[in-house]
Amino acid sequence: MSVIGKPFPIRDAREKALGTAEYTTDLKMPGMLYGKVLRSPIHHGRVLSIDTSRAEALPGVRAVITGRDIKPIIYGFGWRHRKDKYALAIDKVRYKGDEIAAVAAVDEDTAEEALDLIKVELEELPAVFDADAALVPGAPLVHDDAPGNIVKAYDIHKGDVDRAFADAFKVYEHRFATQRVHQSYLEPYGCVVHWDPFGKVTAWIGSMNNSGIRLMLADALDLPVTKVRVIQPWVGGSFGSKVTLCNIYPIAAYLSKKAGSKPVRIIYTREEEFYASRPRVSCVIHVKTGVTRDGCLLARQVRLINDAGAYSEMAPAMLEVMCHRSDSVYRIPNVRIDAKLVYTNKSSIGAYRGYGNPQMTFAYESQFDVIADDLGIDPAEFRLKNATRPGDVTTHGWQITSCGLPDAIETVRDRSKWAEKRGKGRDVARGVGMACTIHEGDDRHYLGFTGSNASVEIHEDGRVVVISGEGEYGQGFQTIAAQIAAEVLGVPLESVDVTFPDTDRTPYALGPWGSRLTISGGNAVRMAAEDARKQLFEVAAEKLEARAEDLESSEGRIFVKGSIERSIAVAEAASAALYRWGGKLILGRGTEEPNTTCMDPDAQSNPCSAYSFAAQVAEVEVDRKTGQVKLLGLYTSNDGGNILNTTLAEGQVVGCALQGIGYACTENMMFIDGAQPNPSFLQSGVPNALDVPPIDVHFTDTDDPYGPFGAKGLSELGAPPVAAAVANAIYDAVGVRLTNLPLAPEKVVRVLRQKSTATKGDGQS
Amino acid sequence: MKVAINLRVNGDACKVLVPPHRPLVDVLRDDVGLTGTKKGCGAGECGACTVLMDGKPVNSCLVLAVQADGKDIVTIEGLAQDDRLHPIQEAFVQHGAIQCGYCSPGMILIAKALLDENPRPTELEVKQAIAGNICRCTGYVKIVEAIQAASRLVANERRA
Ligand code: FES
Ligand code: FES
Repeated sequence: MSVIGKPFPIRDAREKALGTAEYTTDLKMPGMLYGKVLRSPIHHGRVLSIDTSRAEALPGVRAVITGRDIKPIIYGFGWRHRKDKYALAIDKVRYKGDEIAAVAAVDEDTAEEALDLIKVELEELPAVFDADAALVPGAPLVHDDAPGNIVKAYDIHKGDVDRAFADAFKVYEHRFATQRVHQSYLEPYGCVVHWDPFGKVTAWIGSMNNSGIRLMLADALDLPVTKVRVIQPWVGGSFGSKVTLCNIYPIAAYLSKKAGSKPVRIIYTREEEFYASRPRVSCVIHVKTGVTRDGCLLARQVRLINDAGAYSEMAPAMLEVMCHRSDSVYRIPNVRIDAKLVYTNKSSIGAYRGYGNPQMTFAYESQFDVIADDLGIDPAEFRLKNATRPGDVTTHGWQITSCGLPDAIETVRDRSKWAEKRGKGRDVARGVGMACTIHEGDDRHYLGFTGSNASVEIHEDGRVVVISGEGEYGQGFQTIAAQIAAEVLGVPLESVDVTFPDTDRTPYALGPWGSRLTISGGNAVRMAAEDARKQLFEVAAEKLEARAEDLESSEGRIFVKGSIERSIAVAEAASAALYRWGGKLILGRGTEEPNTTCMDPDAQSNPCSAYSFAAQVAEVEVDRKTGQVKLLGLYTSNDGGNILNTTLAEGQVVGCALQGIGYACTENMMFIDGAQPNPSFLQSGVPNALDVPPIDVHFTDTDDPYGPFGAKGLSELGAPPVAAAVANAIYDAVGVRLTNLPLAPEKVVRVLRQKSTATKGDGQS
Repeated sequence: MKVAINLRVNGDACKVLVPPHRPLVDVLRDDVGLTGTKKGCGAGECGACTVLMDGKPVNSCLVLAVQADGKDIVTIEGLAQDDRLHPIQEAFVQHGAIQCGYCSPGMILIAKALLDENPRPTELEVKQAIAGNICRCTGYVKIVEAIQAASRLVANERRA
């Protein structure tokens, strides 16, 4: 391999280092107006009247819109899920931050001033902020058509859990709770939307799911899909959040139209990010697990309650995965899950690296250590004993092909010097803890097209252009796509360009979620490059008077195998193909459609073309007086298949792991009676450079049979295991078990105190 | 009411009319047209808006443009010479210190301020220097490595 597996920097690093990369927030267009949104000041209420006359009269204001100015279209995420949202409130507001009206003006100050001039009369309604409270009969209803505030529920039963519990040597029950955290990407949500005089809407959006956003935006605006064009500029981070439609996109479109077809830019403030974007869902997870005397998992019963906030968005799709994904980390024959998604009067939630995995992994992997401890089995041994292995078909039917989990467990155990450090803690207050995870690669959520399209052009000067609609927000897909094309075609990496997604130019794509881009997008690029190579070799074969199947290429030249002197430059062959009689551009096409079945937790399905795994060990030191938990080291071993680019892979694991550390230790979007006291980077606990422990990154030696060049997705592996690994390490260090995230000092102190006053048993908090 | 101020930005004199409450970051991005400086929070918490003012790093979202009157400002656009990246930029590229890139201009400038003052910082000194700059993508590890590598590059260049 000349390109695959090498540590290439991300391909647009130069533009980014120079400051010339243009993000949505940087875009400016002739005549562009600045939009601002008026948000609900109350948590729940009926809209009685809105008077915009004074705002409209303010010089510099070009458009003011309210729910009266939009088509009353209720939209949602995709076509399979509940639709429950208008672009602007029509009847009710359902959280503090809900969109009521919007203004476009010649500058931001004027737009801001105009918002103050809009008079809104609301009738306040009782609100509910907690998922448990929302389930109580008689609780305020967030949506009248969702009785009991239930958005979605699953009741899944595989095997015979009751019988297994009866047969079990021991059964354990715990309750875990996790908090909301924000993705805290640096570039806030933003868009520039132009509704031109001929009825076409062009939107520059800092999303990375162009095709999906186009469908949702066309739906929200009631336009034919080709009347909407979505262009992706550079995106300053997303981590899942920006995959769905944000209300500012249709709002900017309506403002643009009303303002006489002027482009309108709306950028979230950082406060808006915390009040009105889509953070990670908070959960309450009751887990009951039965085991045999020698430590085999027999059964698990789970009650999961997810707090959706006021609109469902992606939350139902996430619940679907959360309620069964983690049952495939280990062999566990009997499972039952009662999972509910509940409306409350808070902002909606969204995807964030792991898509519900960090929450479930925290609960299951924490309880795992309680069990191991009680049975007197080393937690690493316990995990190895139960670990899923290559060739397994798990409880839900997931067919595990490549699987580096056992290897990962052994690796982090050995690299962390587990045996030396483990169980020494109680006096020195140092300890180690382990946790594992599985993540889906390219999960199929419906029976329609779930693959990826790409084409590869080879131009007459040898330049290769990869055309894919799969988005990029800094995680490196374009670099991986370029590497794959370069490797297949035998050309230098520098001669490959990758286009930015633009729905008028690039093919339909599903976008980056579910760790799917390397495996699905990458395979489509590989197939397109192979098709282009075939066409190229046919032309080269004529020129070289050889057979196409006898050719090979490297470093931009095509050779006859075994006779190096008979060669032709890729550029020369491409040029000949184009300029000769009946000529054409070399254009290869690739369509990947995974041979998977639709995800269905109720039935047996195999939704992914590959599954990725990881194990981690955290080492901590706990200050018994202050409760401070110092992370001394994080050892990670990751099964992302064959690694295509070591620099990028390490960057994905470390960056994701630090997000996991923030989630485990410091980050928390607090809600006090619905009010948010800490809506900022610092107050919400986002880690800085001084919070980073030494992070050891290891990749298992795995070669996936399906992924391009043996690769699988790995960008979501770093975060999920951290919280449980740290909680388990705290237990190893000081003998207390924390079951609520984040693992904050005050909780550590509280449980240590409880423990010292308790007559027996371990404290819990 | 607007106030006329004179800035020297990356060596060029520019005269702008600004409202007195307008932060420097907005003037640089919107009035001067240098969008390399990013705005992540507008509240002094993320460092994305870091520029050098008379050689010292500032969060340009916390500096009013009127306070910058008569000052020398260096933004990310002022670092590379002709086609050659500044050694810090080069190190960021080569060491994988850039993912989405939204923090990069601020990180690179805070690193420049550090190395101007302390050409061979320890790892801890690097971390302390960039502690006010948030990067959500990289986990900082490769950024710290890049700054240390840059310090060696800069030292070598000085020697040469
Ligand atoms: S934008 Fe200035 S510190 Fe964040
Ligand atoms: S590279 Fe994305 S925030 Fe630093």
